[in-house]
Amino acid sequence: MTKQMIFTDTPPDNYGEPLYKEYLQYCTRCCMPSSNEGMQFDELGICLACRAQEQKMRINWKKSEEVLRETLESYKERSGDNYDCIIPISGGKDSVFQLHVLKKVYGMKPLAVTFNHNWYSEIGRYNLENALEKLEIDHIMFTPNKALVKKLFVKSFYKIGDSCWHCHAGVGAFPLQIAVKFNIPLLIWGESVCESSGRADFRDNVQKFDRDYFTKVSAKLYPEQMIDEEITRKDLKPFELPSFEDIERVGVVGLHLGDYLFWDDERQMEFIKKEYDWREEHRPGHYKGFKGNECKFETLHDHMKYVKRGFGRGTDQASADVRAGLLTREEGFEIAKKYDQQRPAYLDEFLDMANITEEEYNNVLKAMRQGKFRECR
Amino acid sequence: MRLSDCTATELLERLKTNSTTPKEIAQSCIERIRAIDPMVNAWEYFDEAAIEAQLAKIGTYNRDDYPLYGIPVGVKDIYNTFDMPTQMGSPLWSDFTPGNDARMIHYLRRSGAVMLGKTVTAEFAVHYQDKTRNPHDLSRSPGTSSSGSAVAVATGMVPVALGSQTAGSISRPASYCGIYGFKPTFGVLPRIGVLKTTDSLDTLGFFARSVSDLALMFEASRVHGENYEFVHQYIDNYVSVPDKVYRIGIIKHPKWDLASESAKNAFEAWCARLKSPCLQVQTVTLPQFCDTIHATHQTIYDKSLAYYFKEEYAKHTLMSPIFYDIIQDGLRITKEEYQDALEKQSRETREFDAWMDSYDILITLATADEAPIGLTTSDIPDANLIWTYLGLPIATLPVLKGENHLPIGVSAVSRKYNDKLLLDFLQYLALLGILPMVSPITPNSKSKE
Ligand SMILES: [Zn+2]
Ligand SMILES: [Zn+2]
Repeated sequence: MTKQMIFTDTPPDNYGEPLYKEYLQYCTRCCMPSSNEGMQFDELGICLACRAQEQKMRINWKKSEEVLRETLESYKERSGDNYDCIIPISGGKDSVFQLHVLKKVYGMKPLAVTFNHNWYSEIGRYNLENALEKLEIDHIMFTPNKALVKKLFVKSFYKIGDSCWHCHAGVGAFPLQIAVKFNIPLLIWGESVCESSGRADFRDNVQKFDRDYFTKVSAKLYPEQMIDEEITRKDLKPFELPSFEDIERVGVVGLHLGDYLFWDDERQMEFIKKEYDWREEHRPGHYKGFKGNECKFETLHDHMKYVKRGFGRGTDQASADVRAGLLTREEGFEIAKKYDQQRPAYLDEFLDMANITEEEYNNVLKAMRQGKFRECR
Repeated sequence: MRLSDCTATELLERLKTNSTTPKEIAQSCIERIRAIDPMVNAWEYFDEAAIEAQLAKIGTYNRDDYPLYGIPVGVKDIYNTFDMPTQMGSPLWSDFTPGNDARMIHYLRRSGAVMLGKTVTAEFAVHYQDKTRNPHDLSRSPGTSSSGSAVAVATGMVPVALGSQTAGSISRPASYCGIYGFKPTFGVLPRIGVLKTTDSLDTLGFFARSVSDLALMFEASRVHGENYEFVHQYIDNYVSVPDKVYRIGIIKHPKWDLASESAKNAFEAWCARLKSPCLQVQTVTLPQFCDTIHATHQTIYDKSLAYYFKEEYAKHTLMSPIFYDIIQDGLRITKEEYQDALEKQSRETREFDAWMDSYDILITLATADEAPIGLTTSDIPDANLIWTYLGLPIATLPVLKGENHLPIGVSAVSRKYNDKLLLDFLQYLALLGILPMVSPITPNSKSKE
């Protein structure tokens, strides 16, 4: 006889309950806690990401697609013999879909740009190279040296409770530098900020370009704030944003395809698997085999968030499933518990790098907890 | 026999032996729609050009790679479709073109199915519906809210059609129209791109005229694979047990006393036919907490509608009085009451699941009686919303006749994620000759009011 209750190690009384019920408020509909940055609950206690999913049902996507088409056409006309746009890519599922849509559907000539965090997994590397090859796309990749990356990795952990500063800052800055250097004003990202971040909704998501977006939402610190005895200003050059004057001169703008096309990432993932042999991989600690496969430290990054904020990748992905009606909220909390609490891959490698014990690692992150969650030890 | 009289399974057989083509099948359904629909009004949107375009596309497919190759499907008008408007049964949304396919529509197209058109839904898939008629008796309701889909299948305008269920919106029309309905476990069919009324209750499903068509539709429209942990564990990895002994509980639910005598008698007579070494039948009583499920369901339902339709409500126009009333009731429910109700739903779902450990299948009446007279008459309360509330897979079986010789369904319910077990059980009953294949009905125009 099959059983509904899959995780027998959850005592029946706590089945379907969030882990930190006493310390955090959770969305009435999904599994996201109040510790998610910028969380905005409405009168029914429902988060912005949940609301945005329903707005998608009341948007006329036929019309917004026409706007996208016109925008792309106008940039194509202007670009002359230059590239029509820059597509910042990692090799993840969205990257390949972006390349496909822009090249095959809209006939653009894009320049793909990758900031290499220098922790590529084997599958990530395959997916990136495979997509560029199959879609015949020109590509620029920047790779900071490994010694620097290691130093920044540890420093970032202590500074922002997330070892990936170099990745966040590089992903934000490098495509802009290329836009300025190559004089390509249009940058195109994939998923809308409204999709699951909980930072904007489709109604007030005014399309304007923000140079410092990545610094604000993920990197938190500007390069000069990372300087110390071991890390020089010169080292940090690749992470610097172009000046406002340069951005103005080139007329840099950015858009997200997900603001113009009804975004259904799992469907898109199935498409690129079939069409371009993009591959997913079910690794330990990953609920969804198609998310966050590019970086070997992905689960570490998520675990840091879990210790610091009380939720990790399991919560993010389970919440998306709850919104899609694929899980009940209680099943979502069970999935979240299972994946968020797993000891991440390569934790030992990081502990060696930082020369700390696992206990110290946990304490550093716990000290960064906010609000009532600080009381939780 | 017309092609439009065939079930999807029969059509696939014919296609396999090259004795017909998708075009001929679609043509036959179109002719049937032309002949019958003026009497019953099952279709909201119907466009031969959109059908042509789909036929041209599947014309390039290799038939054997597509499990629903050439099968016409009726789509309840709350599923987004890129090539047809989605109007949700509301004049507020007339001619709305979402420009995308709901995930389930995509899955079906990917399987080679042809979306024939959009079927009439009650306003926002709730209750109010005043145009679709019951083909067995045109003066009666076909049941809501998946009215058009049920009628289209019952009359042979299409072999299979999509519905959705938040309370009893698949089970009830299936019961009144004398066809099969199936609402799988909550979470097995993706809701992306389908109108939302209630987070924890909305479930998708479909109608058919044979048991094997239910299985066919289930496989084509559900999610698969390791990215869906529960579905993968319990449905992908499900293995049928040969000669399985089914532990069946015949139940009298909390609204049993409201059912008509004739319905109860017909039900008892049918249950008496469940005799076989593989059927272990006993009469069981539902756990006590089931008595309050109707009230909890209503709290969740009313509050959700008030929340999700606040913009439509604010317009104070083009909304039925019944919908208006529900929203006003919903507005009076506090956030705390709503959250408590959700918590209760979750706890009771878990408790019921544990209780279900002793049974494979529960059997009961699908509706209290035959279809009510009048298109906007309220239904006598039944047990359907209990199964929906608990997230269970539920099949409606067209096996009973009431006092006026009109159809009444039986509900077969299984444990969460035991959808395949339930389908196996139905196949077994079909093998025993207890479950019929339904022939399409042609409405008698003389019985029109
Ligand atoms: Zn939420
Ligand atoms: Zn990283």
